Amino acid sequence: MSPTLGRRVLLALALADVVFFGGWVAREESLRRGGRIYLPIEGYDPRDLLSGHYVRFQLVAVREAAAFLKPRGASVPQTFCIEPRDGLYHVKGIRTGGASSCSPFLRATIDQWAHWDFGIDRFYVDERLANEASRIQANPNTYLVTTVDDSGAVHAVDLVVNGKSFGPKGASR
Amino acid sequence: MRWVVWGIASVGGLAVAVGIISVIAANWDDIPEKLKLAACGALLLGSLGGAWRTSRLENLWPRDLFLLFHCGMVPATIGLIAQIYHLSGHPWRAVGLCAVFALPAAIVAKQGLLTDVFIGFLTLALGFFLSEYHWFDNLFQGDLRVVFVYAAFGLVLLLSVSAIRGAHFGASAAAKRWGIGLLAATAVAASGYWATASSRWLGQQPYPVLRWPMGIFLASAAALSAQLWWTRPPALRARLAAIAVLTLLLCGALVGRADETNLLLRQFVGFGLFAALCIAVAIAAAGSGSKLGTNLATLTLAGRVFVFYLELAKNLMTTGIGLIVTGLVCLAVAYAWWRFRRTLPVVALSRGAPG
Repeated sequence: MSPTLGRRVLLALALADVVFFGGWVAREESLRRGGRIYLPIEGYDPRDLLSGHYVRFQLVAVREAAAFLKPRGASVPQTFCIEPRDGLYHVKGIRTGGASSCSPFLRATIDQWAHWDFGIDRFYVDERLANEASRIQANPNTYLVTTVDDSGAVHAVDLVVNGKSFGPKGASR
Repeated sequence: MRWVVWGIASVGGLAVAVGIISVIAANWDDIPEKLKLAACGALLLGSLGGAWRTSRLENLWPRDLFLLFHCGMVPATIGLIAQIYHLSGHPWRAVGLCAVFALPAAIVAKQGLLTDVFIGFLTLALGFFLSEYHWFDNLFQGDLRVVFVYAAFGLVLLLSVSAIRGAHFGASAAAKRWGIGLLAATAVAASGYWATASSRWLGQQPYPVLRWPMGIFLASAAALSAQLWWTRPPALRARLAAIAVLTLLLCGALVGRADETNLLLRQFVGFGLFAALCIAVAIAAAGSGSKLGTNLATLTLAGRVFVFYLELAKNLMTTGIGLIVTGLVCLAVAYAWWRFRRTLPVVALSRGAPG
């Protein structure tokens, strides 16, 4: 390959880096600024794997959605309407109509264990905090602070355990 | 003496680098997210800047090292973004994305190492993808679907070797390395399938039999054979024989496995096919002037003979048969070496590739 062509490829690669990774970060940042949805969670399991320190959890919505529609054999993606109850959002039913039929709503696929999968199951925290989280049981003051985009995809902003925020400062607001 | 200095300097440099990483890791949560992202972006683009600056040098190793660093920074960036925004998803997509970003670097680079990285990402992404559909769960209990997919991938890589050799010799060498490596791994897996009886883990459900993975493998094998026939490389007959024996080893493994009474026969046939494959590969490598390839194939055969002996040594009868077969194989290898003793060094020297 000629040096000129090689340098053009390098330029194209740099441009691809900027557009792709820059665009990805910009999109995630804009999604963080949306209205806050508080989703109750359960089932802690702190891990220390190659991915870093993170807390694994399951949204209560997974169980609630299964009560309305069994995942096995259901068509995907499926959308579920949610509503606030005592400050936290719970699934109130399957979304049947168009965008105006219910808001907000969550989009779900089915995971490999045939559970509803809302695309979020972990929150990265410091190792000490992850160990702390492992000793706490689920309760009404334990929830995930999220934003939900137009397609119903969930984006985590903060994890609150026993009223204590584990995310960046001011993320819960 | 120079190597000693380089060795000590490398250890020192590595210690400093790991130390810096460790210090950063210790304070990771205190570093603002924006700073982490900015530093990561700077390293990502800085590696390309370095490649740009060194691309006009006569020696292109520095540029290729910068590109290699870029290939490492891509998964690091994906991981960092996933960590900061608490994203989780399908691992094969992340690795596949790394392969997409590694491809231009592999095209530009003079060294085949960047192609190794690209093919490595592809192989890993394929593995994650198959794993997501639980194809690895009963690898040795089903229809060898994973083995056929990887063998077909290896054959496709070998098919690409002659196509890209003219444009990028290093890349074609890397494709050849990975192609042969993947086929060797699949041959070992199939060999294990021949040597074991069918038994299911408690509660494990058998998968429905899939024929298309075997179909794409057979199509790839036929395409590679046709290409070899057309291009007439050295040791053509040995190469074609290797493909034929590999096909028998993989496809034949599925025949008659349900019947557990014929295990001994299966072990013998499986061993015979594996030994024949090693011999064909050794002859093909010798014919192509690759001393390393010949030695590796012979070493693999020796290892398989040892494993075969362990498989059979259950009573005096099987031990005796095992020893007879082992002796016959050793005699055959010795005869082959004697038969080709004049040709091998001449071919190796004429190709100028003793390694």
